[in-house]
Amino acid sequence: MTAEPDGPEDRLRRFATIWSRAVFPVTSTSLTRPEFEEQLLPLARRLSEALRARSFEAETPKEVGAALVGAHCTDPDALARSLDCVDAYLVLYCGEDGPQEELRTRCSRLQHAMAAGFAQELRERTLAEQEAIAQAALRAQGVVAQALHASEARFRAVFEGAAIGIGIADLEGNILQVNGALVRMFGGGEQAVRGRNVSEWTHADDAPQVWRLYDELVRGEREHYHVEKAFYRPDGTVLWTNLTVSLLRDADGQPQYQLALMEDTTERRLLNLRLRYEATHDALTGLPTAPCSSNAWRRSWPPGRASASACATWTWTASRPSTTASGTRPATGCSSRSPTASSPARPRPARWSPGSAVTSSWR
Amino acid sequence: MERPAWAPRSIDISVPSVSRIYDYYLGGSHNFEVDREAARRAMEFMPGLPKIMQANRAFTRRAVRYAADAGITQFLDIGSGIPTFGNVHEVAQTARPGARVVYVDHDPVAVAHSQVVLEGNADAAVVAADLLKPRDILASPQVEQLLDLERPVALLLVAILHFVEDTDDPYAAVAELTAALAPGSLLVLTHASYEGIPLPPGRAEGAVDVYRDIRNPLIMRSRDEIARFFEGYDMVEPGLVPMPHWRPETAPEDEDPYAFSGFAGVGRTS
Repeated sequence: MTAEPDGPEDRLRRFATIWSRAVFPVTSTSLTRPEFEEQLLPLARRLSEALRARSFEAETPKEVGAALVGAHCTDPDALARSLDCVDAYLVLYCGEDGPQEELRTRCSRLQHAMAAGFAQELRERTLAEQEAIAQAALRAQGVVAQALHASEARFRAVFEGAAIGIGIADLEGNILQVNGALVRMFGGGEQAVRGRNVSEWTHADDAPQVWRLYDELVRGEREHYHVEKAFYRPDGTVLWTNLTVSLLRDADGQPQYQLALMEDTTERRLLNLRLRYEATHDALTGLPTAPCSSNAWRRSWPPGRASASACATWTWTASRPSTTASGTRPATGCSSRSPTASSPARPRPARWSPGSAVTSSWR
Repeated sequence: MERPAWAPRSIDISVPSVSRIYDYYLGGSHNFEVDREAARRAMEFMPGLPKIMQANRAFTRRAVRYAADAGITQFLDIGSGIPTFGNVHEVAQTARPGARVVYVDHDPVAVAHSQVVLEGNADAAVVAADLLKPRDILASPQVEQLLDLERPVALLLVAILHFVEDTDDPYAAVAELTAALAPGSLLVLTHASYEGIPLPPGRAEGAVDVYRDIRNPLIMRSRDEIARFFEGYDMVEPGLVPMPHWRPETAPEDEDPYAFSGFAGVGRTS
């Protein structure tokens, strides 16, 4: 700024101004043009000194070329314009009174080295940035993998710890994954469940819509269904469940898997049956109390089991709270008569208790 | 089970990312071929796109310096992308040593790269979060650690709101963010617009289509629509203007014609 008009410093500055004006339009710097010129000034000074140095030394112009890249002149045009500028003005503004021929030769060699320095630095920078972004992508993927891992661990805990039976099958019905609760419902043998096909789980008592709903679901026409369904256990006993099956789709909405959630209702069902039996049979005689009862009874009794043998395991007791007989008899929709005095005395069905002989025979 | 909110769905580098495209426009190599391919397609319609990005960077620099001169030492830069050069923390910490800067981006690769760049800088950090979930940003440990929301903050929303569709209500997100800031805070914003682009509208639409194709639709808004982001603010002079006209340090006439695409403004909360 304090340069003497047309002195060497002033001429150097004018060269830097011309250079910055030529290159600024093709840079991607966020600096203003005058700020950019300040960045070029030391580079111009080094070129100027190298031009007039006793011997040619390639390192300086190479470093100047590299510094251009450092100033975010990564566009190849920035090099072309810089070299144009050096070629046309360096000797003119910075050559002072040296021998023109030698200065011109030196100026050419400076440009060659500048170009080499620029190319070298651009290559280094490109590789470094490619490496950096690839590493960033890897790191980001690692974060996702960790998050998925944590999420999966949590999911696994829920899956395994759930009291409800959970099973996942593909759309062909091949069972891919089941949790412990489901295995226990089927009697505890994993091989009885895992690797099997859903279609093997037909049961004589399946309502007609059960498999229609299933077909609709695996075809992707239905998102879920909810049924009561019986299964044969490997030991021949029956498992009654409340079964909810949902279709799982991928991110693009394509059906992928079916998810079955099942709740073991065998015991509840048996209790229900007993209450029904009590409600529809005379407590003293054990005879049906209403004509409507017997059909409902047969329909709801789990088939696949000989009802006689099931009955045989029931224990009978004479003691029973009177409340069930009088006040709190379950409403069944059937008319029921009070026990009559004339009925012959007969043992009554035992109250259901888990873990009794009945339970174990059904497991 | 639902993925945790902070975990990205997946990292798919075969899908172009707007932050890596932005880096390519600025002459960087923090990008992959898919990004460059999308950038080149957009540039077929608008060859001056890099000049718009450069004007954004230059405006950001002036705005950060303005904020620093106005005494602000805390900066929240949402949609910060890939740090290359002339980043907010460099400008801010040069103007005011010790200035605190929190960057926010939802691009996991940009965040991972920012973490590397900011390593060892105790006064700057990056948060992986989404502009549309201001609470995630404001409640992040980085914000809690570095920013004192009882004192003014400069909130930077540079070249990000035009990636938010109206159905996602960018106005509500901005309002929720600024509601958390102390009086005297600044909202620094730039936004793309068809206004000011030195091309017939049809051509610019071609570039907009490219962004739609890569599932990062570019929502061009009118000046009035952009001004609505500043409702309730005192506009810092000269108001909402094309980028080169905002407190220029050099003659705007010398700027590339593309630099005048879109609008920039700074508002102050009272």
